[in-house]
Amino acid sequence: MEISQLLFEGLKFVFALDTLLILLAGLIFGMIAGSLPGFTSGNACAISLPLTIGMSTGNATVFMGAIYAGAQYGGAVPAILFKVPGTAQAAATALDGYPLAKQGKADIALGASIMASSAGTMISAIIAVFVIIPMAKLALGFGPAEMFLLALMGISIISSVVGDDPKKGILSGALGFLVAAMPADPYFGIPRLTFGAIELYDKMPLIPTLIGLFAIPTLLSLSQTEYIVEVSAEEAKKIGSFSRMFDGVMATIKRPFNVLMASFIGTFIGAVPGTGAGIATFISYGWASAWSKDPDSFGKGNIEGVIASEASNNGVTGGAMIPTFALGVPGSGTTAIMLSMLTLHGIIPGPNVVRDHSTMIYGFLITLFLAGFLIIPIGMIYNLGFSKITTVRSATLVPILTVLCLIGAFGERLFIFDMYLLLVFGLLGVFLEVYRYPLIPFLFGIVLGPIAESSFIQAISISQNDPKIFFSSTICIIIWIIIVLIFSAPWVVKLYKKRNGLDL
Amino acid sequence: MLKNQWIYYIKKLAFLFLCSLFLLLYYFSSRNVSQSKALIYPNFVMGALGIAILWNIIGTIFETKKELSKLAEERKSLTSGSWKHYKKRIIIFVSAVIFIFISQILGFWISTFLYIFLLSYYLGMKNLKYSIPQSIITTAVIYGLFALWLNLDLPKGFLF
Repeated sequence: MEISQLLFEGLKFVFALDTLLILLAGLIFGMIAGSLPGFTSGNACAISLPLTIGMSTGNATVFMGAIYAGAQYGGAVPAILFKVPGTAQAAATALDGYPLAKQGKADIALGASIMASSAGTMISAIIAVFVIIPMAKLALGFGPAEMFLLALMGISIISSVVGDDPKKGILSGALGFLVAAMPADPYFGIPRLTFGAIELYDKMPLIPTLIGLFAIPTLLSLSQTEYIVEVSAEEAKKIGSFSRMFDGVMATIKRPFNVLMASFIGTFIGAVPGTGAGIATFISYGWASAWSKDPDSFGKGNIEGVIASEASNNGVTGGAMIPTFALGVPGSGTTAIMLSMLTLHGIIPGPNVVRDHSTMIYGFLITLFLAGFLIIPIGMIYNLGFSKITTVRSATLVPILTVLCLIGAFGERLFIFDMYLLLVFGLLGVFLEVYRYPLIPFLFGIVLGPIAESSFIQAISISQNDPKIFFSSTICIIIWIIIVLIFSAPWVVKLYKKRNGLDL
Repeated sequence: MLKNQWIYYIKKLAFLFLCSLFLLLYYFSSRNVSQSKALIYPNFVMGALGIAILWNIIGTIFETKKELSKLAEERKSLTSGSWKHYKKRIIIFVSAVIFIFISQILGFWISTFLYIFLLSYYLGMKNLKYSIPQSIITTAVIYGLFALWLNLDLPKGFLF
């Protein structure tokens, strides 16, 4: 089908009442989760994963996408108001947002962040519409050897980019792949490391694994503070003017070039697996300060800094969808959870998703665009009521969320065993956090592991155990070159810095 | 030379020891697989993990050595985290294990209500007028979400 036809089919899917309600619920939930320090879009998506079982695949995708977009915006609110970024990527927003708030322009900064986030989401959704199909068409020609190498490339990029030490990323990724290979092997049905538990024979269940890794460490650290957002309610009440927020929106509209560039940066960096919004926002922020007429005011309360950070931050949402849907390689931790959700609904991630479920994908991208638009009114209303969130105590939230996680883990297969498994993965998440091993490569290993294994075995069967198949095509060679480049990049950068006497 | 250096090394390497233990367990367990073809992929991943563990062990030893000599230079002593810092987290974790266990005896309703009520009390929600209704409402909402909307059979006890 042509893109225009697909978009028309997608529109029919979007304008159903249940889809719109789910979009709204996801957006609000995402905003709340994003503005809670320590909570990310990944946490929010992991906790709500069990709820998607009761939805159609299309609605579940919309729900997750809306949470993602909402959370990417939500992080800006505490970053601007209290210099407490709700998410790591909102740290760049705090650089100029907080000084603006101190100058009494909190509402204007919030308005600008709303408009920039909205535009970033919409622009990235439009780009994704035009990039996903050609990319997936190219990938449809991939054989099992190429698919395996693609998974290997995905994990290599993530291991090198995420965290401060590539060796830690590689360990985390390899551990994830091995944990995913614990159940019985998919071809001969021989159990490997199941500890005699029949519950592990079939597969490594995704819901307990993901919730355990994402939510448990966060809940345990949330319990250390009395209030979820550690500021007084009085301080939070400094927002309140609708018209001043509108001035911020207008200030953003008057800077279309800044918005466009930041959104493009966000989308393209978001499309590289593992890079994420943290990198995109700082690159975009750096670019904006370099091109600004008044670079000295950056960091002291320049509205362009807020725009650059927020537009790129939300541009990542659409960008991360590109490799996720076109190749089956998640663009970020949150999209890895989205891929798990597709698996739960019986869809095997990969280029086939675009071919077999094109209406759903396009419907989803249209809803992402719509979510971007809705960030403006919902964000404004949300900001006016934000002071209420600062009164939420961790003594209220932690027990409720812990039970939700446990029952959610039980819900996938109705095994008590899965609740214990959740705690085991929670403990692993804590270890990874304490020892500063990045979580995302492990998560990718768990999600990509089964796909990588089946592609590997198929390739080996075709070639009759000859490993040369992994070097047999031009695409294979190109992917190998990329993998080598990825692994050598950190050392090349280190060497370059050393030679030029730069700070290491 | 600082006191308890070896303990410090062990602490730093503890996670890597656990990873090695997992790798060894996987290795010995997968030896039972009779089909050699089924072992090609796990062998590949085990190899990658083995290299990564070794690389990290060497890296951690070097980093720790540097860290210790810096501490010795600055005449500082090794500090260890107090139990108080971890107490809350451990209690939440253990209480979750107890919740799973008692949910099979008392069922979803009683165990969830008790868990939310007791844990929020422990975490500082001492106002019973607020915490009792909150625990009841939350239990009902979770029941509504999972049992009524998603049609799942929640754990049943000897009562209901």
